[in-house]
Amino acid sequence: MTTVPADLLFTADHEWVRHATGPTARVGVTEFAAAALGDVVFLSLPVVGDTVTAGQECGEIESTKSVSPLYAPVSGKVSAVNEVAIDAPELVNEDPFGTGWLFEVAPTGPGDLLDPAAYEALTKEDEA
Amino acid sequence: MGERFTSRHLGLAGDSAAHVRRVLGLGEGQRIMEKALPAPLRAGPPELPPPLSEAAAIERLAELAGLNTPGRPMIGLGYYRTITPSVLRRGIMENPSWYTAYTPYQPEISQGRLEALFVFQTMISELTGLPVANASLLDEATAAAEAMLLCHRVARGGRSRFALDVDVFPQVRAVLETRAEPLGIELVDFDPEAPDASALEGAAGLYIQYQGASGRLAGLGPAAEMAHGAGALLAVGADPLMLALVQSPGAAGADVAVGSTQRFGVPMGFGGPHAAYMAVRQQLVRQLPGRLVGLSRDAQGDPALRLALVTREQHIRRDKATSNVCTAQVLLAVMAAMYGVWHGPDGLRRIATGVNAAAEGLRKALDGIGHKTAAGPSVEVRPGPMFDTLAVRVPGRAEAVVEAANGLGLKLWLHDADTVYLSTDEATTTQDLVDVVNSFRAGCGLESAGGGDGEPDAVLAVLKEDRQIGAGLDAANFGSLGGCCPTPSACVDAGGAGLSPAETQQTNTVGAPGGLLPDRLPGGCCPTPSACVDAGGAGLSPAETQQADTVGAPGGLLSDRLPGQGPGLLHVDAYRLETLAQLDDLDLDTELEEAVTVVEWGMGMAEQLSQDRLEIQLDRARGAGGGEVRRATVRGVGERWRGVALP
Repeated sequence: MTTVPADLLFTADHEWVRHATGPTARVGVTEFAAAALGDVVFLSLPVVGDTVTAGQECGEIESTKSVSPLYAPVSGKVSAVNEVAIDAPELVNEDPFGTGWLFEVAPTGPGDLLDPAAYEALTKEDEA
Repeated sequence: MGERFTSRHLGLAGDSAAHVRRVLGLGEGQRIMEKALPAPLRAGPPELPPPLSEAAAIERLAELAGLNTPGRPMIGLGYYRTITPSVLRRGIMENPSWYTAYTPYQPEISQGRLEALFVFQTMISELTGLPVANASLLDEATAAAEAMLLCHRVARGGRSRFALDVDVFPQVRAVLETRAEPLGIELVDFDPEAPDASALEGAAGLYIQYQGASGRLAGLGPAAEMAHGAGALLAVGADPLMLALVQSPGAAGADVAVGSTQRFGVPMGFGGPHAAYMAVRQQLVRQLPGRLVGLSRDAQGDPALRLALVTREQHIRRDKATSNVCTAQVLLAVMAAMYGVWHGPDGLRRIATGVNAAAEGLRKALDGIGHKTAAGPSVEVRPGPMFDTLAVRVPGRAEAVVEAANGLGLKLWLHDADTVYLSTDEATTTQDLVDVVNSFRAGCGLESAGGGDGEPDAVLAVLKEDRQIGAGLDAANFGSLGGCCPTPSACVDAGGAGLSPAETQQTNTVGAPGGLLPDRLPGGCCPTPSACVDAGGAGLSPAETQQADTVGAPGGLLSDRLPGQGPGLLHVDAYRLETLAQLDDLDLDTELEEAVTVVEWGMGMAEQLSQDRLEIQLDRARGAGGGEVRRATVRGVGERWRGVALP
């Protein structure tokens, strides 16, 4: 059983978005994803100024177990990346919804996002 | 008659054959292939020449190898003579424990092999001044192509150009062109002596040949500054022996360094195989192609070597692999690493200094033989710093000089009608230098040399002086001369070096070089890749020993008869031949009448074999959309094909 904060929206790829409608949407991976990945050792994030498209790959997250693609949950221009997490990728495991955030986007289009209840149902399905 | 090995290694004998027949349900006289393969698919026994004994095969291979005229190559361009210490030849190149292993799918089982590669990586890292080096790549040109691709990965598709040194080795340029074209990368010329910033606009990287093909040698700092200022990476092609003397690429600000380690004790062969290296800045480690050996800890907490970062390659996520390179030139990289260990930092510096001094002496001698003309000296060596390569200007006489050198068995590089390039190396003798000078005299119609039979010759006397490292390596440009050199002992315990001198002619003891593997090996043994595994079936295979013998021989196969039904099919690689006489030596006369003879790259030679022939030219459209489609143009020549409709 993992936490699913009520103030966030989610994707089926286990990423979360805060303030999805802007002006600044912050993106990270969920606690569920962080637990499944295991110890995160490297982040390859988009760079500030990149344009990302909802549903398209925009980076990578590497753990001791695997390398997984990161998808943009919303479309828009990248306005910030979490340099602290790049230097200390373990933050993604320690505080996925807080200091372990990944990047921020000025959204131009909504993605296909899930509300907390729908996401929680999804993770239960995955656990089952 | 020699031993044929058939009874030793092939098939079953006695009771075991009967047992197999029983298990498989084979009737009396029935052959296993009759059950395994439907009749229409059976091709019948291949048409092979009669089998040879081991001794006869070696003789035949030596005969073919004898068709080559090795000469004394001084062409340079990334290929140099080198002296393979006999301890490396016997202990590694001819040692089945090292040469038989191919693609270990569980590499960690061979800790000794990984340790040798770790030494290679350490040596390259120290020579290049870059913190991470891989376990080797295929050759210098493909390594340069990997460097280009690395720059483009880092640019993430944002930059479509790649700037290339005008003085790059021709084969490196050719491979870069081949790789760039289908990827839509535009190659732009860049001249470090007349740098033009516009060449770097939109470029993902800049590739500099540290010592250019012409011997041009300049500090890398300005190029690094320009590249970085334009948002591009700096990749450098550098000779590792030269790096024992000059500032390292890493110290000058380069992001990537590649090069060939051939001259670290690996014979030239036919241009390969040799291990190339690639080293990068720490920030680029995840973009490094190929294999990387890392030092880790095992479950008991003991140091253990393993392949690192391979998850980026083909094991998972194949579609996202950093590059298609998933191997290394292990045997040759191990040779190069042990050459570094054998000579140690001081030894490498001494060899590099000798190579440079020979070139400096030659420069002095050549500058002294010409005479002044209205258009300048008739023989003039390109001035300025160089390591081992001279560009000699002889207006209109270059071909004659190269021809004269050929007559003496020396191979020089004809750059253009006015310029000859040549390089010195570890094996260069005073006689070589004297012959070079005489070639230039003969080719330029200058007064004969003398000096051969005690006749005094001031010019040649220069070559016999004690050689001092010259002004060529300008201290102003190379502030940190000799700053870096391999010390494998930095990462492994120093000790009684794995290379035992006992069985070689060497009388000096190994001395300082780092101790590799000693505590895992039987005393006095040479390094083996599998301290912890049984050498297995590999140990005593005669076929492989033979192969190793031919690897060491100067020649190789020139023509081969291909198996199959119908008329004989013969394949000849004409590009390996230099003269028609050599073609005659292959004894093709009877085959020409009876067999289909395919001569690859035969233009200018195959014409003389037969008046009747088909000329087939394969073309691939260049540019975008060229793709994989080849166009074959077939042209019939001679009576045989008159009036025959060809596709």
